[in-house]
Amino acid sequence: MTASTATKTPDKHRSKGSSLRREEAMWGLALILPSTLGILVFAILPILGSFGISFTDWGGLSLPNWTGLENYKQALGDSKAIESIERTLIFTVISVPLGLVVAIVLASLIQNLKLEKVKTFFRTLYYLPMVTIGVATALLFKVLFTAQGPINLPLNLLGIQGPAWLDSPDTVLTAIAIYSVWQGAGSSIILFMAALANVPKELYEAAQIDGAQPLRLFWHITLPMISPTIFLVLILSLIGSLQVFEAVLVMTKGGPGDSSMTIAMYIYKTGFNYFKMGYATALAWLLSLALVVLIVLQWRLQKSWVHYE
Amino acid sequence: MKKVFVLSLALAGAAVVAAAIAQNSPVTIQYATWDESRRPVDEKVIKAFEASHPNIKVKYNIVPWDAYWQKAAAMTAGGVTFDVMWMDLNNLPFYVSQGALEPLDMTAAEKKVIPAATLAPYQTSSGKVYGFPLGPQAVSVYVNRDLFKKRGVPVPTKSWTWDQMLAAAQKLTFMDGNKKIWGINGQDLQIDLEYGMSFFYTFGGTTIIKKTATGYVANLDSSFKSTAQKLYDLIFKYHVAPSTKEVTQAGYQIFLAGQMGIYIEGTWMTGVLNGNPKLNWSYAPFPTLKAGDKPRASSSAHALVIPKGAKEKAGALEFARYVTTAVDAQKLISNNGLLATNADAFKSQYSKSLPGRNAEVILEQLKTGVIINSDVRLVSNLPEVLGAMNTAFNLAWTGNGKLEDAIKKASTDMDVLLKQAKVLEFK
Amino acid sequence: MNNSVNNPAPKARRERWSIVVVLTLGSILIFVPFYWMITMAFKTPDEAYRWPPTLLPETWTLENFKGLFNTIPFLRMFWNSFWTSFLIASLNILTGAPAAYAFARLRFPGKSTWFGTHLLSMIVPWQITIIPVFLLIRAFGWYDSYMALIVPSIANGFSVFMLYQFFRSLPKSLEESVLIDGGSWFTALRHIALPTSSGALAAAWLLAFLGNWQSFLWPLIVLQSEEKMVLPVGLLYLQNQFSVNVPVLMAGATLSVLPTIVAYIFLQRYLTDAAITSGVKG
Repeated sequence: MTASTATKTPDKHRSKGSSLRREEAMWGLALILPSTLGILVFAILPILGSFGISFTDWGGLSLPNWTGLENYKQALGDSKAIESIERTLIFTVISVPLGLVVAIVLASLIQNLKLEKVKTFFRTLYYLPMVTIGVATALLFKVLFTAQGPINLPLNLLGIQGPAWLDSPDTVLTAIAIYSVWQGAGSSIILFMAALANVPKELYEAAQIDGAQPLRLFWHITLPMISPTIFLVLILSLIGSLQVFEAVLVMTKGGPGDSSMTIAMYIYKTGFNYFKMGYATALAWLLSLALVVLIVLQWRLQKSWVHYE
Repeated sequence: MKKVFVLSLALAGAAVVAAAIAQNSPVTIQYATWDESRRPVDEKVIKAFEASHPNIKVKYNIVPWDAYWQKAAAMTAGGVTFDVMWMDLNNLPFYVSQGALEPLDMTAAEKKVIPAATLAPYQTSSGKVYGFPLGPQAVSVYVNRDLFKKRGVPVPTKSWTWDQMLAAAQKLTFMDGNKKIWGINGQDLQIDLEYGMSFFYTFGGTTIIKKTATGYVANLDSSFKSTAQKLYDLIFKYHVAPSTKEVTQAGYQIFLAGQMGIYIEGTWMTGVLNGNPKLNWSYAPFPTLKAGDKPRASSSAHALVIPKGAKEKAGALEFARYVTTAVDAQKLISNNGLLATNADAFKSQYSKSLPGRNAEVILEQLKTGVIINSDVRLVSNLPEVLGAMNTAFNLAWTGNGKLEDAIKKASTDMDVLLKQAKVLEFK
Repeated sequence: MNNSVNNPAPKARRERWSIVVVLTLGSILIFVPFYWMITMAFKTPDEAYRWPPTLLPETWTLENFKGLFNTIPFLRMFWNSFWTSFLIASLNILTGAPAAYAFARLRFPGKSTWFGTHLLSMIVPWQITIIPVFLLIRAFGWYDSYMALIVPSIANGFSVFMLYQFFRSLPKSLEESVLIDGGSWFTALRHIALPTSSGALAAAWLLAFLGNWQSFLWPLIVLQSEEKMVLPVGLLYLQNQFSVNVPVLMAGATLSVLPTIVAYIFLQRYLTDAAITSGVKG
């Protein structure tokens, strides 16, 4: 900047513009200050801190020693950690598609209703589990899933002895997945309903004139049109199910044996039951890394099936 | 001016009075336990303590077992702790090695009152004491005498063998109208729990973790295997005990409802069982392998400890002392059907408090009892090793795996962890 | 226009009815667990474990609720949960709405960096931050105090993001007229943006409230005294080492679940689809 240009431009106008700019910047920083301060102290600082802790042998009570990459090396050879990751993936493969299908089907059925009141009624009802305390409903399902619980009642009427869902390695992950879908379907349904409402009616009408069947309509028009929402729900439920913890802690604590020990539960146990805070933090970083990789991968893959307008 | 003077004088006076009140106002100590079933007795003891120590109030905290250790660790790390809390032997050395507990000032007279075997695990090689041991909590056998009578089985009073107990359990398993009656509580007898371990010790077992020249290894030997098999067979071979697929309730609920003949659990359940006046229960001797053997049932030796972070250490020490060594407290505990720290000295009170329940057999059994895992308590990651063992056997006891596989898995998993173990310093 | 659209054929009507039937069956699946919970809470222990189960309690008993109040200070915990969640949700909006507005509308240095920190705080799993935050709490001397519960939650990345999405969708013209008239950005926010977004604010508040109302791991770790404890942890305390008294547990679940359901039914008009979706759609 030179003095000559400054004198040439109308002085008054310019300084008003830049003072407005400065004022805007001041206001902007002032408005974000409280929130940003909180985020910096209680999220960013801890993230940095945990990265440091993951390179130590810290046990929670005594002082930590720097151990370098030791925790990460140990994690790669920790068969229990690897098994718990496998289990988490199995859980994800059960719960994510189940939740997705249930939510899409219910949302499109609700969307097909004519009366606004009836729509609201069903939408409210399916969202109910979301507003209850998770611990309470998980404890409730623990009772429902016993051998003599009501979930086995229909089986019993058919003369089949239902399993003790949470006491058998074959059924425990399915049972937790069913609970997760019961609890979480509501919010996915709402997302899908919003997406369905935005599908232009003309597309259906044109196809209907051509004599297309409802299922074909759903497959060729509805699904492609709501694919961005499918992608969104997919990402959200992937993140949720890879971190499944609360339901496991309340319902099984990882049992029977280790058969519902998910990676999040394993991290919790390592850190808070056995006081290996450094190691638990390293595992948590590996979990986050896996999450990021998975999301990026999905992002890449979405181009082939997600349809953006 | 005068007014101001009078006012300030009055204020100063008030401050002095307030300070004096503060000086005399009682301190409150935070006392924590995990054992809900002892609550009525604990509350009586606290009341008696507060009556004899008017300057100390006790706040009673019950934290369920699952949350207790996590809570204790978080608190210790967080720098705010209970003033006096229950501690078990599996966790004590870890806390001591981390410098989280206060060494306690125990007088010679007190040391004399506390049985040597109970005190030993809490005493370091250099003579420091880290816990005031509570009364023994022995694994014991409860029987439903009405069911025994109904099935024509004689109620054992002095001794019986495993085979006799099994035969009794078989007779006691039957349909009473449309109610299923079970012989014994097999789920609770998982081999690695203190109930299962009592059979392991009684049938000749020594230790589940062996010390070698280089460190520790799992020692699930043939005597361990045969005992595990016996206990496992109660559910899966003889069907005298319910599996998780057959019942929803815990063993104590079935026994309490009068639908179980033999029930093996700690002595702390006495109060709960007395809650059902219709239940005609009594203690039975712990079964041995051969007639004439002495039972070696385990008894847990929990203790009251004072964390380093405690705020009211003096009051906490006073309380720990009172509960474990004061004659009044010992009498009160014994009079209410629980064992006092020096159980033997108050045996007449104890027997009298449980009239007709054959409580004498418990006092007899204590003489040859074992304090579970006290020999391996210095393994630095003992809670994790025992956790891995528990996980492996849980699979078998819930009917989801073979016993041999569980033993193999337990051995392998324990060895992996034991390789990482250090010997804790306990000085 | 096709005729059948205006006069639905019997086939279409049949279809609509079958939709209602399927949805009703689905609703039953949602409803049955709650029904089970409530009836179990009024059954005697003997009846609660009976097989096959009874549909309604044969003898209605309040013993389980007495047992609940004897085991944990239920009302106290309920109140603790309520006021802390209420306060935290309000603080979230108080700090979050201005920040979201600034991110959506204003230009200032480092904007994308600061916004990025908010997004990061949303994405990072709790396993990473929980231990360091605990250390901070210890350093501040807040262990076993409500400060430990409230202060780390004052700023909420999710609320900021949700409101950011909403503010971005508002037309700018109204605020611009305020600025041209010489008003400040603060005036624009206070008199124009906030009043027009009361629906979104209410939704963000409700979601923040629900999040705190359900949280149990953090309180479990930082609180100790029974009289400070919140409800989800209290419910966990009903599961004891030896005694899981199912009817008492169900009494506790009933009393903790029913009030939120009732409140939700009254408040659900604020929690519109648009409001919820604005928070998660990019």
